[in-house]
Amino acid sequence: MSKSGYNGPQRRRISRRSIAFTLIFISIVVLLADRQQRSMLASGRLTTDNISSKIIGFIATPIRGLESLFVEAGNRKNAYKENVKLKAEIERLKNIENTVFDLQLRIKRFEEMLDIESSSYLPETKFIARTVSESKGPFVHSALIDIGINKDIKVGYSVMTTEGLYGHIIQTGSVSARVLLLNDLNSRISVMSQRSRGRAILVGNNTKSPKLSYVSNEIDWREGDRVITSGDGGVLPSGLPIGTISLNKNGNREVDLFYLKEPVDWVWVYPFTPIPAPENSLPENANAQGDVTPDNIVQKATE
Amino acid sequence: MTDQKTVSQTQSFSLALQGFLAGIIIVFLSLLSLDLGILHFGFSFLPVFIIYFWPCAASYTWSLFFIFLLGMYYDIASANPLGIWTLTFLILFMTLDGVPKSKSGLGITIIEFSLCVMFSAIVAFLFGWLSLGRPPQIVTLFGNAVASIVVFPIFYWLRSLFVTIRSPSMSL
Repeated sequence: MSKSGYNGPQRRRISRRSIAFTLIFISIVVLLADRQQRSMLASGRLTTDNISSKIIGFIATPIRGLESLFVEAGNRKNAYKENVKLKAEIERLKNIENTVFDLQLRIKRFEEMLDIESSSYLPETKFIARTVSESKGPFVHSALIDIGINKDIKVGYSVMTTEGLYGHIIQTGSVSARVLLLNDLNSRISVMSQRSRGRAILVGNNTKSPKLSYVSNEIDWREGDRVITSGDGGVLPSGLPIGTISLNKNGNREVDLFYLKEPVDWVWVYPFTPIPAPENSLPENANAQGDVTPDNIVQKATE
Repeated sequence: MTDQKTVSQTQSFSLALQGFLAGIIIVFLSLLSLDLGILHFGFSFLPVFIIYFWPCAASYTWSLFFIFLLGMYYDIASANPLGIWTLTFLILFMTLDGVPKSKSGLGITIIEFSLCVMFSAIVAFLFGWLSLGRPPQIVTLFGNAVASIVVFPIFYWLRSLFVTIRSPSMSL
């Protein structure tokens, strides 16, 4: 028996327990410190994402094959029905095509007359990327894509599938980038109804159907309306398709996301420079020259 | 986890390291997901397999340390808030300490593994709630748990193959 009153095995047991509880204590501290921010160990996350994107990209190949087999089987099964439906759709669209073409020309002419540019801010250049892993777990909804700084991808760029908006870039590594999906708990996107132009905020809730918040009841919102990005705040381009409105059991408005229609494999990343606030977009030497300060702008406008 | 055999310190460290490396491989597999039409399968609970089959003769202290690192790595790789899986794995490991594992074959092992997964799901749910400030999606959480249990026999078979190739006492 030692001076402490404990024998060898008892001492070992106590020491093991204290190590275990110390590690648990450290984990709780980390958990509380990282609450909702997800900013701790940022460089570690980038390195891990770069490594993971390569390894998972390789091991996910058979799974992607299985998924496409499943989709193919479904497509083949419905091929006849879809063919008939598409033929009817083509007939209908042929009539609309001429009207659209005529309207486009008229709008262009009006824009030239008024000297305005009302087209979408969506650039023509886009980068194609592969989603190497999708995390649609209970805590986060994010995805890892296999391009990053090597393709000049920056935080904030919007990511699209063939169906609609997928999310936006929140982190970029050298060869990978992390996308925050529309339905993640931390996702907030300003949206509008394509029909009524009513504005709202699309709030992710980790389910398949994110909710619409800050909806003005004065504006007409209908079930089945197409929801697109409004471009408010200048963070995302306007006009990106998101989904359609549906009502849940409680009568609250939700959005059925377009991108969930099919498994996501390839995506497009659209470069987009957020529109800066005027006070942040002044030239660096504005103050030195003394001609483009906010005060001067007001003064010149008054003059 | 009770050490029944006498192994050297190097060996017990090596076994803990083996557990950690196997855990890293499993973490990569658990990051994969399967989308079949409207059904989405995630395998978030696969790393519980490693905790369940953690080498019996591995050093306890090193095991704790490696499980801490494994959980941290899993949190980072899956872009989760840090600490959720770290705490879940540590608590599961401590709970399993001293509980003798049955050698009654696949059926009983599946039941034991399912209990471990469900226990982990509850712990992860509670810490997830604490971290996110609102309850995580319980359906997704338990859906992932069930998906991980469904694929368990494949990993059990792979482990058995590994054990047969190597000495049973030294392997995972």
